Amino acid sequence: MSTKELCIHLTELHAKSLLNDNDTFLFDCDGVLWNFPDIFTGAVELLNYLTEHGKRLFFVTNNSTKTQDDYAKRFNDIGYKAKPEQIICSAWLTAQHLKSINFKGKCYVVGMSSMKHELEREGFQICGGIGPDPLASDANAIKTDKLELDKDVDCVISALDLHISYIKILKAATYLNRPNVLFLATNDDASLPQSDEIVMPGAGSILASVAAASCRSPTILGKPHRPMFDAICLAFPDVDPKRTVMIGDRVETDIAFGNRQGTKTLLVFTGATSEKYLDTLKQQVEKHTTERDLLPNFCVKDVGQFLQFLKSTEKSTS
Amino acid sequence: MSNSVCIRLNEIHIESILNDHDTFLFDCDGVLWCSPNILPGAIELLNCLTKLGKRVFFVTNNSLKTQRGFSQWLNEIGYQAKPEQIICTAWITAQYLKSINFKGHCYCIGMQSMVEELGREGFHISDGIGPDPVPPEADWIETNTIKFDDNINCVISAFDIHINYLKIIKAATYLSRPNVLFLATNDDVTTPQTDIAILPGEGTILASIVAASGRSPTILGKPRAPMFESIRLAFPDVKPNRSIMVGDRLETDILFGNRQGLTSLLVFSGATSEKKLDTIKQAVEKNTADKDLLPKFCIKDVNHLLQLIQSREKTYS
Repeated sequence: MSTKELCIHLTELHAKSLLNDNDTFLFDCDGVLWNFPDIFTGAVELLNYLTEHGKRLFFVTNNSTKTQDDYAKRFNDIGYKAKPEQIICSAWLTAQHLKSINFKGKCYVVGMSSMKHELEREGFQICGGIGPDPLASDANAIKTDKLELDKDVDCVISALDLHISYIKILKAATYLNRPNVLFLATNDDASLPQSDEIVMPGAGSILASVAAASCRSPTILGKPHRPMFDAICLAFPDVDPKRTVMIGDRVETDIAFGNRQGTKTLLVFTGATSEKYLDTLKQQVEKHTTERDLLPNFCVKDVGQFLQFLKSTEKSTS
Repeated sequence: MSNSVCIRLNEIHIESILNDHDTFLFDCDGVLWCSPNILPGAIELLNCLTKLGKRVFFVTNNSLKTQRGFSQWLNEIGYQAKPEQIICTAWITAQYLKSINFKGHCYCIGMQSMVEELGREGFHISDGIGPDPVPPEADWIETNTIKFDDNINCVISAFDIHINYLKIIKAATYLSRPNVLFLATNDDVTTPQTDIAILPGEGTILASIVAASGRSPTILGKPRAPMFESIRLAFPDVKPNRSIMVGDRLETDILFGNRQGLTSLLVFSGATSEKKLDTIKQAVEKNTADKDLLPKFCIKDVNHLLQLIQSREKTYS
């Protein structure tokens, strides 16, 4: 399988075409714009540059621990005037999804307060799962008769949860064992982007335990699946995937997402994917052992370099 | 193929069950008891088999059991068990580490049973046992506050009611370092459940560590070989073709028995109903399920097996 037109290292010429041929730019955040609190050089300037050139920007993140308002505030604090509707985050998306299926009922949510905020904003009722649900520290068994189980749960949602515990997995699985209980997951990223050597489990790790205990598979909303793009197109029907660029750092989520929706894709090497890993993947695609959708159209060192290429083209044509 | 499996055990088979088998391996939950109730005939059956000169082993994936604790409990309820008859996954983990001449420290997501069994063989668990709390108000984990042990070269996943995000961080981080062994006691996703709730099993905890680390463990418990290998190591005269595995769960007990070359006997008193067995049988006929999931024999419960043996004894007395 030819990979000649993929993984092209971005040049000034390509940057100019990307600018001219596209109206909408979708950005992943962690590993692309920042490893918070470190904002990458040129990141904010790039966002402002694209906005000044009339481009529409969206921030498409699987991170379920922040709300639209949290992200909008963060962008404003660092110098980019973001509106909440530009933030396509998985907590907000979950509420939109429930709205789109006309969901009525109560949700058990294994997740953080951001999930509670976004779901309650749309009027959805949460019956537990947020925050700690601990056992006594000297406990060595579960007293099933002491469990507080809600009789009327209609949906179980799995997100990233720093307070995951045996009891929460037990409750989620027990609810999922009842008839007609919906099972949603914000995303299934196995781990979070980390700059040090420590592995931070992602929503996918939490989901793995809930899925195993319940023997059920969820509907997964985040990248690389469709719902995030559908949510953008619902609110902004003139967004055209053929005139859209997805910029991300993770091939299995960002790049696969962009490719599958028909956008152009630009990979940066400041996050989850190294150049070496991309080369390995490219070889695997050529041998037909890996999906072609994982390969980006273009790749670039970082957003700062993308900005420099754009500014150079401007200088050379002025 | 399916004619010589799922045979309903009755009087005509009991002669060969007794004559052709010297060793009886029993799963426990769902076979001898459904916690907290010991099933009728269970203790009498064990005593009956022992009196007939049969060797009896208890082969359980439950990682909370120890050889000492479990044999003591069996003695209390009327069966004179010796510790070496208990083949439990905490003990197997220690045997496995011994067999590979393991040197080093372990991070073990598990409970006191793991400390006891690994400690007996001189293996040191540095961390992972008991609570490792995340502050209740935390909305982030400051990774530079986490203490890691540079001497850990093995991560073990077992049953742990104190599993939490911090423990998964530690397990996955240790597993990202070079030359760190990854073991799991077993991967049963649920423990035998009550009517009230699904009780997540070792496999549930393991799933979160596998996802976060991207690594696959060596899994020791049924249906894999180590449990039978350890019996044969300790008791070399135990022969697979003269051993019978009695269990309630197809994907652990029966698969284990069949793969090790034992006769397999399914009881319907636990995880598998007759209806479920029929479903699997049909799937095997359509080639969509492993034929090794099907037991050679099946019977309602251990009480019925006891009655068959006792009837035969009466006939011969």
